[in-house]
Amino acid sequence: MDFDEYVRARGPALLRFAYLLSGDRHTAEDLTQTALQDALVHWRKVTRAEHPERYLQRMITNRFLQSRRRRASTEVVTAEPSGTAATGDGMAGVIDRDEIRRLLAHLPARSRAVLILRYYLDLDDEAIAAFVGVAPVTVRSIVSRSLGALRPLAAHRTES
Amino acid sequence: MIPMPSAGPSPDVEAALRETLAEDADAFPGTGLDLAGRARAGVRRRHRRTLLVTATALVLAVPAGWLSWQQLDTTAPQRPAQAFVSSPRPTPPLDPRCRAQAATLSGPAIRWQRLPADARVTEVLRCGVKFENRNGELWRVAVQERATEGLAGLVAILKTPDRPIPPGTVCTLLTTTSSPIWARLDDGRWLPVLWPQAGCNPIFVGRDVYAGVHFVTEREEPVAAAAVATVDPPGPKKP
Repeated sequence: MDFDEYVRARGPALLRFAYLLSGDRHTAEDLTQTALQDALVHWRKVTRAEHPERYLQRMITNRFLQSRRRRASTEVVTAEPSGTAATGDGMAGVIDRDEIRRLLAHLPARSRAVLILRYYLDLDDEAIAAFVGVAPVTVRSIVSRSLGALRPLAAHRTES
Repeated sequence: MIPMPSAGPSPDVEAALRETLAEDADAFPGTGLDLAGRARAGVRRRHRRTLLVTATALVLAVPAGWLSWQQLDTTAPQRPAQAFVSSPRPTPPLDPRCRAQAATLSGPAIRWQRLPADARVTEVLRCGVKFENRNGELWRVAVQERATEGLAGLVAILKTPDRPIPPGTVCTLLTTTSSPIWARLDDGRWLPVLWPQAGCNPIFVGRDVYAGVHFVTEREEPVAAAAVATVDPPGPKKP
């Protein structure tokens, strides 16, 4: 499998995945490009893998977690979502999703990665554990805690 | 801090999360970037950086390594003796008295003398030999120590008369080695001074006194490598 060909076909999907992880377009591009650089150096190894795309997604995830660890002490969370959406029947879903995005952005990097691996890539606990480098039981715990934070939204949705 | 849930996650929450993530992924605008080209350029940049760092390290490390080898290699015949000195302080030339004494294990024929009772000592010179193991070889290093201050206690000991061994004393370690101390008198003369003989062992008489004297150590290396045997160096033990 040719590197250029593969990137042309799957590059946008990798970018989307990186964007979900980082929540920022430029960071997503950086993450994807760095992972692709590493992949290019070890391209034979990547193509020999059972799922090359999983391999690359894992590289992106590792890069994301590493970068968050490095910047954890210097990054300051700013920009609470500005403005408030008007409420109404048709807007309930929009509000919920904005709130979900806000909560996702404030989750620790590992929790955010675990949720994305579970609900975007549909990976099971074992696979997520291998991705993130923790035990499966830790994955279950992270998922449970993170969803717990979103539960009030569900209640709000049911009421509305 | 996110609170621990009291019950399992609601299916609604999971569904909302799935929808949100899918929506966000779909909404991600195409960047139009040539990802493969950028990755190749990045790898080239990384290789160039690695080459640059390696070349810089080589440029810096090779001369440094060569210099250290020159300093450490004991077999290099053209190496000047001064190149051995690792101390930043340049080693002054060894005093001829110590050099002569270090030339052989037993020392040249020196006529050791008692320090006269009325002598006024301005400086003392202690000559010694230090053995060092380098690259599996035993090297003999001439060491000299000088002191000009705090000499009162040492001079007092050197002026002390011999004490004979009490009758009936059994000496297990009887030595007669002269102490390699040189004293410079106030008239400029250097005297090779004998330690007083006290009891069975004359060597340890003045050892405690050394502690009160501030010696400045100087050394010259090597004196003679080939002829040195693995034996204890002669002369008084250092404090």
